[in-house]
Amino acid sequence: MTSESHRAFPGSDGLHSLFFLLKTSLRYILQHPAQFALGLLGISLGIAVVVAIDVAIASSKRAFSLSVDAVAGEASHRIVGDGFGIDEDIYRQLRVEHGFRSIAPLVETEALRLEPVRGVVKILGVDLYAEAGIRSWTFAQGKGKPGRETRGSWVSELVVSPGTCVISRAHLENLQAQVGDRLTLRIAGRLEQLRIVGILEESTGLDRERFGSIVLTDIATAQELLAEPGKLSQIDVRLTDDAELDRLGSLLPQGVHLEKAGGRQRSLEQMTAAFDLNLRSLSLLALLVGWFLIDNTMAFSVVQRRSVFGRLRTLGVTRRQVFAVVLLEGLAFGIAGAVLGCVLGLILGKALVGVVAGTLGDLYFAVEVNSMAVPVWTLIKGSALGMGACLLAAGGPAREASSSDPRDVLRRSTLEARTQARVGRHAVLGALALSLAGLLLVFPSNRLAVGYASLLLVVVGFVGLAPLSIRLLVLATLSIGGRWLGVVHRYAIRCIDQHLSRTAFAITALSVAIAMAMGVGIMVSSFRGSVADWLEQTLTGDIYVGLQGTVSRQGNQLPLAETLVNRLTTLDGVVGVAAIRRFETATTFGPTEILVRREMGQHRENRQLIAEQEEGDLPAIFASEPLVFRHDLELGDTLEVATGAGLVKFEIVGVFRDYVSDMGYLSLADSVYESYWEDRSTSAMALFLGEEAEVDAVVAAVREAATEVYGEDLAEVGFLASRSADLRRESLRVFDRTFRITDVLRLLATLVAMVGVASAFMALLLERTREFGTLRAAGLTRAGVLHLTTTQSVVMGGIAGALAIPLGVIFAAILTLVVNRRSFGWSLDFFVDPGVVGVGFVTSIVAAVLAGLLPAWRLARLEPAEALRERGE
Amino acid sequence: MRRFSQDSGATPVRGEENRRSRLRSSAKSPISWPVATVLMGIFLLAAACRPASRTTVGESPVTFLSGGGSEGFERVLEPRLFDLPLDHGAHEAFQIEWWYLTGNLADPQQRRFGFELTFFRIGLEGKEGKASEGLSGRNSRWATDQLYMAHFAVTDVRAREFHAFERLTRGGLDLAGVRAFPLRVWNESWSLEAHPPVGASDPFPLKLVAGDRDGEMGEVSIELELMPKKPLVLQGDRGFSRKGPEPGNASYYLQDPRLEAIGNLTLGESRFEVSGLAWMDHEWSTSVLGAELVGWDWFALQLDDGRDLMVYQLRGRDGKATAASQGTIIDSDGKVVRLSSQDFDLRVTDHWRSSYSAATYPSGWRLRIPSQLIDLAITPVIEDQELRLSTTYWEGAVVVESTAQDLLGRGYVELVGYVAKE
Repeated sequence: MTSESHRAFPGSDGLHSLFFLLKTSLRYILQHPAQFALGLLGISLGIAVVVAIDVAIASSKRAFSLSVDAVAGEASHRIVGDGFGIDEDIYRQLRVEHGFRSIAPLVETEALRLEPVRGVVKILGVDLYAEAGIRSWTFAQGKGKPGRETRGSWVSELVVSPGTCVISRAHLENLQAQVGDRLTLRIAGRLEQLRIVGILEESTGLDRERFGSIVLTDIATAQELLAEPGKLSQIDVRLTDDAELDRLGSLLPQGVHLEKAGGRQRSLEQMTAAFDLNLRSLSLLALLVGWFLIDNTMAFSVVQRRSVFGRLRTLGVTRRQVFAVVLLEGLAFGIAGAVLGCVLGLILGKALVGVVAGTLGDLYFAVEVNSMAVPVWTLIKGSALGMGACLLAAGGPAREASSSDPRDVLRRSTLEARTQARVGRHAVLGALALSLAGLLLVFPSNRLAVGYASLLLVVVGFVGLAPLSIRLLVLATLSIGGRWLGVVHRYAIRCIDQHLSRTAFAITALSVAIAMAMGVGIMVSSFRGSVADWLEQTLTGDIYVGLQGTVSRQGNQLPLAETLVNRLTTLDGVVGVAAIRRFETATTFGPTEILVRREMGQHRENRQLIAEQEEGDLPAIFASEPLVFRHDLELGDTLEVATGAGLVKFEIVGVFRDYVSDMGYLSLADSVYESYWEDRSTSAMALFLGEEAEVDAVVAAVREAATEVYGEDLAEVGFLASRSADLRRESLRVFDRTFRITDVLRLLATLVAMVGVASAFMALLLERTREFGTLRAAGLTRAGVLHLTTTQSVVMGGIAGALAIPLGVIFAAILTLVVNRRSFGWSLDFFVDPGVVGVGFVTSIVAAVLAGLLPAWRLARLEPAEALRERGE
Repeated sequence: MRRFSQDSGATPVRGEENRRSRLRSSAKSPISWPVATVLMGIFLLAAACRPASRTTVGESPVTFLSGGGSEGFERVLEPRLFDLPLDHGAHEAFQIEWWYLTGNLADPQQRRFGFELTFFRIGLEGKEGKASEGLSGRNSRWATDQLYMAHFAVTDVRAREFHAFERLTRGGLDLAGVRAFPLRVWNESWSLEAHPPVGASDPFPLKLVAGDRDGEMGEVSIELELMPKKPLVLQGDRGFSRKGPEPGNASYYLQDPRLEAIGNLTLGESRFEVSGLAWMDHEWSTSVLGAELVGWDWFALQLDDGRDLMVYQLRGRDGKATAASQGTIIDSDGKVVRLSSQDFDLRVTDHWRSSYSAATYPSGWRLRIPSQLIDLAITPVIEDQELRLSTTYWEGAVVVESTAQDLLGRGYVELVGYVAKE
């Protein structure tokens, strides 16, 4: 900085001149509303996506943890069994014979509410007289039918009358029901009706959430609903005295044990950590595109005002003042973007809650989200990210505006010349970043963050290499297409290279967004392909029979009626069956699902082992790939499983492929199962048919047999008899549903990119106003202008699309082979879907054309004379 | 099994081979202390519930005492034949029933204690005239239409400490219940259980077990074996005990006014071998008292000369005893003499105010029964014997002295209706 720059202008002090400068900024912004609005929209959308994803995840999880809270109450521990509930006599013995009082029995299940409104409910069967100190319920007298009040307390009615329940006021309002009405539930494969006899009062807003989907019944009623007399789901315990806890633990029979409460909450966090991280990372990519946008807007605004800044500098405005004013502009953008982004984010979040909750429901747990959770932290984080991005974006242009010599600043060509000169240097830096990304990927690590870091480096590398690539592609287009291109086309295309400082930006932004969409698309299609292959090999049976529970895939499967199982085994045309039993039990890693397959007759093997070893002395167990990954296991490792015969040590002798659960599960040979568990129920069956059997005829026979057990309305009770092809289709449908959220994100990122392209075009084309004025004066018609600009759009879109292909494939490879593997432990077959690539390429061109329309239209409308006069430099 | 009916009620039948024949009718009986407790709970509940119309389980479980109305339950309308020993068991056709024990105990060093152990049964839904199949159609062992409540209290005279506990348990799953023969009444780990010799249908010896933990004191528990020293008394008209002029306002009432108790009592780290005298009532009914009563004072006194004395007074809204107040004297042979409200004079000589409930209880009395030449001073062994459970009342051990302060006996007093209704 030189001393001359200290000449005061126009006020006598720095603050005054800064104020003056800010006024010029404001005037400039007001004169170019569309341009700034687009920039603002871009950054706001970026912030909005981050906020929305956070809000959607937080809301779904809060709804879940609140329903867990309602169940756990104040319990410090709980007594659980081997996966098939616990014998109620254990409870009686603890209370009557051993005098334990801070214990409460619980029969818990999920059910599907069919009437009056379809939804998922959690049924809690409690002994109200044992709840003190564990769970606290407040009941309000509802308005019953006339005369009901005189019959006495409905609380005793809840206990005495079978088929009665109490639901919360919020629940009642949601259903638009009243006391005395009936709920129709699908539970344990049957339709059951419960009469509402009272209202569970919410004393706080939290209770409203907590009890939102709870149906409270007497414990006897719940046992009858589940058709599991004698069984409790768990016994909740509130004990802090270690000696008493030890005494309690020592009294429990084999197969039943005491564990700390709150485990469910923790396992929820573990369960969904990878899912959350993936969603959040994708939302950050949207913010990245948004950042590109604001960066471009800022750079453009500075370029447009370089004459103003130059004049101001010659008049004595200091570099520092210019720097400060541009930074302040960035900050103002950041603040406006943060406010708008948070508001948009909340709106978007509300729309996304359903999608996220649906995905979480398919993957992890069923939940009905009744209200939004808006963590303050989310808003702070979104705003900080947005403002940070804006300041960062303003930094470069601010330096550019302030650092250059006043005379240089006056010349537009200086910037362009510098950009052109830097193409090589950027390319070297880009290549370096790419190499680093490669190194990170080769580096042996299971850390997901490393995967994402390499993804980011790839983007940085791409951005560095982009100008050079664009130049090469332009030259290639010109030399290859030279013969067929007219003068206007050649001019339009060459302009792209000549205005690289502007075009490179627009193309890069679009390219990154398209590549991201492509990458996610390729990953999903690879995933889908792997799952489809796996389904093909796994569903070896011809017909599958089972009872659908609610919407949750976790937890115990409902058992099929034994008479039906026997009946189906001997059905005409059936030559073999595989009876499948799925249940959840406590293991070294917390509650884990176990699958047992008992085969009879002619059947086809279906387990796809990735690795196996000889059986050792310990009983053998098989683990799915995600389980092995999640808990860092290998063949030969041992784990403890709560069985009917107490805790038993098993050895992992095989790892099998599975895409059903990212939690992973275990599998046991039937013989091993039978020596440790008593329960012989069947949760699903695979039927193998003889050569000449008609599949549809057998399905009809199965359904007929089921009607005898479950009644006429098989769909209502959730009974399914599907041909394996149908089951495959259904499974893939669920798969698609779980990826709906990524579709939404892809769309949003593309949208942000389009806004970016529009804003870049706007900058580019407006900057060339005089050029176009000259062309118009030379005889180019309006249509010619449109033609010219559209050609440019198409070529730029094409270049962006072409560049997006390698980036998208690298993206996809990292997502499929690194991120997915490190998140869920799934090994997937990588497959580049040409359809996804093609759609990406076309989207790129369409987006570029659409984004170029408005600026092109504005240019075309200009009168040549006016355009020439308007040249502001 | 023989059926017994007592029509004269004048002659004591005692010491025979079979306890079942030692039946005795007494004077027309009033509402007894246990009734008081239950009904008071209901009154309090009604008062507490009306304005808010809400119930918080886990905070005030006694709210369930409100149960259903008395509709569907049998009413006590006339004297009946008792079928013993089965009638020692439960009568679920009636809404309320209790087995009520109190007693004064001492260890060999004459360290004195009082105890109360009460088992209540409350029917949640009457079955009479109902189309429903009741419990028979239900598939869960938890299914029930009975609620069981129990109170256990110990008075430590020397330490001037009082410990009281409660159990409120549903029927079903054998968590609480009543078995008629051999008699077993239990609520979780508390129980009253008959251990008759082989072949005997008598409920004696009765074994009583109860215990809990009380803060820093730790364990408070009792184990007693009870043997009768007098024949069973059928209170009122052959065990039909009227409670008011309205038909059905009555109970069936069996009483053992003098039981010899021996066993042990644990307070924290200390265990005491104890013995003394206990008193037991077994009563069942459906009726509810009129709203004109605010409470009652009930006295069960065991005199050293072998006489047992039961006196009560019902208090109206003005706080004064009503004419329905009555009494009974059972002499050492088991002979019963009825006392009307004109036959005795009960005066309060002292008061005690509870800082917990803000209730002011009488805490000392002078009782005169001129026709029997009785003039007694009755004093609580300690002032604070207030049970602060789901319902708050005072029930405690007392000493009975002559006006010259010679010890004449011991007993138990129940004071209900002194806590202001919320």
